[in-house]
Amino acid sequence: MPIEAHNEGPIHTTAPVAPGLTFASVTDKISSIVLKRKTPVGWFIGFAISFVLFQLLLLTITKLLFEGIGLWGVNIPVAWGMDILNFVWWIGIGHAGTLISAILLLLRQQWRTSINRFAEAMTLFAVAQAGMYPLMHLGRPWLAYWLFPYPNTMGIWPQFRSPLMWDVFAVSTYATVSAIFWFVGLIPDFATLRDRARSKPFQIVYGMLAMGWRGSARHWHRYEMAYLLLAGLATPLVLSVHTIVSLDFAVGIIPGWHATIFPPYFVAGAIYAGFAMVLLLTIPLRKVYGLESFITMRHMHNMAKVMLATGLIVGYGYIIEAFFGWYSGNRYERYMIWNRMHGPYAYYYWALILCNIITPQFLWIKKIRSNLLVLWLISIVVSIGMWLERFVIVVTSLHRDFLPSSWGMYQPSTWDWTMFIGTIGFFFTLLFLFLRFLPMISIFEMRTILPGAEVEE
Amino acid sequence: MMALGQPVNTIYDFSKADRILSLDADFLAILPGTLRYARNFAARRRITEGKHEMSRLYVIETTPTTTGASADHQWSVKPTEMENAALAIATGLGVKGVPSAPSTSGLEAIARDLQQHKGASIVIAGKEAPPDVHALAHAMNDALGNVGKTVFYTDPVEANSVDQRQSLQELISDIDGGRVEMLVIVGGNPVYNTPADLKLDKDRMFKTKLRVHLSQYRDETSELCHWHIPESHYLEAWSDTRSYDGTVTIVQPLIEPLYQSKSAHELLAVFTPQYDRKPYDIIRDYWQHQGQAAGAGGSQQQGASPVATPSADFESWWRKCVHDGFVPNTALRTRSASVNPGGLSQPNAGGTPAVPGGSPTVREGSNSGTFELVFRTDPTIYDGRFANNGWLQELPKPLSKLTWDNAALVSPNTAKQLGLEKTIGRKGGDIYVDTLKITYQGRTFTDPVPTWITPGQPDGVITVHLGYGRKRAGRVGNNHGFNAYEIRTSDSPWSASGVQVEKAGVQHLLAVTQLHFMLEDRNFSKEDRDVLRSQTLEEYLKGTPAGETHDPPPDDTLYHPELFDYQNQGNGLNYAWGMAIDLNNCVGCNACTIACQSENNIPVVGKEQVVRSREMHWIRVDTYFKGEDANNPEATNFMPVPCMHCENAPCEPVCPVHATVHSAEGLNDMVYNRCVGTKYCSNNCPYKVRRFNFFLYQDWETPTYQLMRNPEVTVRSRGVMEKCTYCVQRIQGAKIQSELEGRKVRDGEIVTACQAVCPTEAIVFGDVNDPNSRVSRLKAEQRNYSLLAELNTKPRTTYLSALRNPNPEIK
Repeated sequence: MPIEAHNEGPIHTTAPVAPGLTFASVTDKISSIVLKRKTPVGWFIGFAISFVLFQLLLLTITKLLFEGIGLWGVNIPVAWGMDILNFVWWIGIGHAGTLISAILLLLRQQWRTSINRFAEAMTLFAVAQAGMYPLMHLGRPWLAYWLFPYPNTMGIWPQFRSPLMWDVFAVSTYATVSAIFWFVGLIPDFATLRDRARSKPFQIVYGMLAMGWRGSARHWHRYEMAYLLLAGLATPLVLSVHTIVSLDFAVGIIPGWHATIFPPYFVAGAIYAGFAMVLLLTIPLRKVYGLESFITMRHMHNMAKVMLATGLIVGYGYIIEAFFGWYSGNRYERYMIWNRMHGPYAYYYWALILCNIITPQFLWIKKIRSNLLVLWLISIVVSIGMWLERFVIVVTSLHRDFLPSSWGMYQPSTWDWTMFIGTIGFFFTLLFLFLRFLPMISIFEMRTILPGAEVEE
Repeated sequence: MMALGQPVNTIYDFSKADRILSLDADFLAILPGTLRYARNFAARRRITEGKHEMSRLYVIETTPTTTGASADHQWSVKPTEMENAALAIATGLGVKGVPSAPSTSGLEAIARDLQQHKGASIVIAGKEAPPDVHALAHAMNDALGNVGKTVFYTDPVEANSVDQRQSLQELISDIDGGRVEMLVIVGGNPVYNTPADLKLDKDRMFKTKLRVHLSQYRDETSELCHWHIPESHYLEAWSDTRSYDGTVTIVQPLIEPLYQSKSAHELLAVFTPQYDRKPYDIIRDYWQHQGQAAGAGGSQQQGASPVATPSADFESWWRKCVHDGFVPNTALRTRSASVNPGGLSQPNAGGTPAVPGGSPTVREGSNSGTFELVFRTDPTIYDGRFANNGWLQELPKPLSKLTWDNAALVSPNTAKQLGLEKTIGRKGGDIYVDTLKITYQGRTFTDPVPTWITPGQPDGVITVHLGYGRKRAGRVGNNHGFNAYEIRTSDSPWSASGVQVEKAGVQHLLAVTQLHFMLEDRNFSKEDRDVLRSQTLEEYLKGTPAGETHDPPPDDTLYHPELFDYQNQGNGLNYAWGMAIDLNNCVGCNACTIACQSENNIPVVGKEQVVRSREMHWIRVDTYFKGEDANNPEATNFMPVPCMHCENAPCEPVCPVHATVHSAEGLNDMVYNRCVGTKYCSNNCPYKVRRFNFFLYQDWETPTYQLMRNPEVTVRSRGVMEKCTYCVQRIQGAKIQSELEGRKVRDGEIVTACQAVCPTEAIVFGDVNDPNSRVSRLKAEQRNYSLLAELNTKPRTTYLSALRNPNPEIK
């Protein structure tokens, strides 16, 4: 496909890559970050901070295993709090990667190439954080394997009617497929690194990871097919995971949970949050590592547009939720909406509206999309907004349900926060390791979109 | 005493009373005969199986109580107004020789109503009411011809009835005069609870040379004694006692003393020549001797009726009494007492009571800044003797739902006047309240007193509960609440006026189990949630429905219909367990909660966990105040909420590991060892009756706790959900027994723990597949309804709506 030169602005805002790159320069530039260039001081600082925060997670989990989830702020009636809302938040963030890799691959959106490796890694690391929560939120986490259908002497299966059961399948499948997809995508690049690495240990490790890749035409043929099939496999998962996560709530009878709009609304929200996180991370990264020629302004614009579109769907979700709360005529639903807007957690609700509906409207303006600092701030606001959304759904629905005699309140405890901050630490720890040891942009795919890769017909 | 000239014991027969007037008498909660009274009272108000008459209860009280909550008409008055209210009614009843007091239309209506039920009414004055009110109550009963019909006099139950205040005064003056060398304290905790003006404090204690204290706890008094003798619990030692009507009980121990302890009998025997006698011998010899004395025609105990013990065959008589638990025919004989209401003081300067018919207002100006103070024993830990009992500390107080603390009760108006506020915290069970500095006769509470805004509390009156502020109660009871004995004097033990009150700057954290919200979402719509149904008797008899009716939704289901068919279980027995709770009879005593806690090994979690809304009670009693005006609620209702055992239980399909499942008999079973603790079931329970072990709440180590537990019930570990099981262990026990005997379980054979203790028989359990069972008959009543029926959960626990029988003359 020829790269169209749009008339509306400088070329680098629209092209998937900047002009002037060749096969060799692409390979050099990306692989040198891992192999040749001196690790920047900033990397060490960032890694150290993340690693310390990661220890906070280990400390929390240790204490949690010894003492019980009473450490957290959960109670009766609010038996799910930060645990589940952070789970949903992380899972949501983990949506952009597969969407970019799989769906955009199938839709032949070439601009995805610069960001897919990075987004996939982010997905995987976010899912790793998310996966920890459902495990740790159990009263008896050491029995979590009972949720898996395995033949056992107890003669009992998990309950297939429970959305939590579906969650186990959805999340574990998603994690597996994302990991395989990511790894398969890395194989040709591992081979490149193997060939270029100068120290023995690196050659051995990358050599093993490359799984004997020699780059023959047959390899490429098989590879392309496998990658496409995996993309096909991963595509429905993008929709299914968050659909099923939303069913954790929609299947419940609690006002504020029991809504049929939840699946599409959650999926849109997840993509929204995912793209916000990709932008949040990409903007500083391309600056630090000088990747402006790979990740161009066109990428920024496109991601901002996806955010705007999904943000509008999410906004529609909020409006429909409020409308049906009123229109249903159901006194519990009505009260739920009223309570969200005027109850003790009202400021969470209004902050959510501000973050998730009002803020993305600025993305209509091209000037704002072009201003990276503003774009970066907007993506922070959206990430916070999506966290607030989960807080509003999980907590404000539970804290006042049917019988006023059992109404309560919820406040995250210190250990809720250490766990959350710890997962952020773990996420960035993994991310820093990824940046240091793996090519953050797919080398071989970048080569395919260079003008030199065009086949004359 | 004032009215009758001599000490007498008054007992009442509520089963024959159609009209009851209570003058500050909390007869459903704290009198010696409370359980009997509550049962008889409830029987007279049970509107089931075609009965359509119920008694009418008027309560005039100085602080809201559960008795007031059960009343058809309740008014709150200041303690100083109580006597005038009593006088006005007495005048209306034509009691002779009483000074006339200004009346109101309401009081006149009460008088007329009582007069129409001569001989079938009761006027009862509370033990805290002043002597004048007692005198008036006796006079009114006399005028109504109730004596001998519903009201009976006997000799005092105490062996030696003395004025205890005077007796304490003598002791204190003896100690002060240095006339006491040895002080033997048998039970009690006088260092803690003697009145402020007769305080047996450290200085006085140290004036005596030898101090000995027999007590179950090493408490404040033991601390200041040379010898602390551990006292046997009444379940560990032989003893004897008398009930409210004088019936003698031989107290038989259930176990050998757990520790090396002595009973009071053993201690007192030390002072006799036979110093080493065992309690069993002491008790048995006493009753043997008593029999012989009776045979000789004399009574050992002054004032008590002689006990006819056949001296000939004492052994078989003794065995029978120990076996039956009481000595037959030992109730005190009724006697006559002449009522002399003369000598009553003139009406107080307080003016017309601000109640019946009048509008309650805060009377400011006249004595602004000074308040009246009401002292009451605590609804859960009584006078402090149960302070170290975790069950009772964590039992929510019936009206405030407060745990682990006492608070000064103030009315909403008074709170406004004093600028008191309460803020609901964010942890779930935490409420932050303003505190007061309360001064009476120059004595001030050491700590700022937390306040609790109480609907129905009279304006300008502050109620404080005794029993808290213990420093040496034990691990559980230390340092909770404030000590109301600090300013309580012997001349005004139950109420005081001229109390100085000042807002203290600090706030206090209270742990409550119900945050008190409006049922109607007033800010939003006028809709009632139709949770607690109540109506008047008149409406009920006319057939007016008490709440909404819900058409059952179509029975469409994706699941196999036979899975939920409780009629044909294929075992030929077809039990379907269910429960009916008659809200008309619930008096909010909370006994069900404690019985359940004891039966089902439910842990105590402590104030810090209640603050986090993690109390573990399987059955809670919800309290609802009705009406627009929080100062003057129209009615107060209680609703015990155990697990509903829904046929379409929302908790079941959401559990990923099948840890909560339905039994063939319709029980919603909880499988502890399968539970992994997702807590989804609790989230999805619309009644929020499930409880979670957030920590290891159970103490697995302490050996005495192991003895305490019910061996039939699993002791739950950390991380599992639990909830009411309908006492499944009792169901299984009865089923096994019936199978052994080759028959079906009989109706009434299974009694759940909550049902067993309910003094008013408000809880009925049984087989709903048997149309003749008591529970089926109750469920067939028009008043029967399901909580949150519109959710189609089909609860097996249903409620019968509450009824009121107001006097049509009183608006």
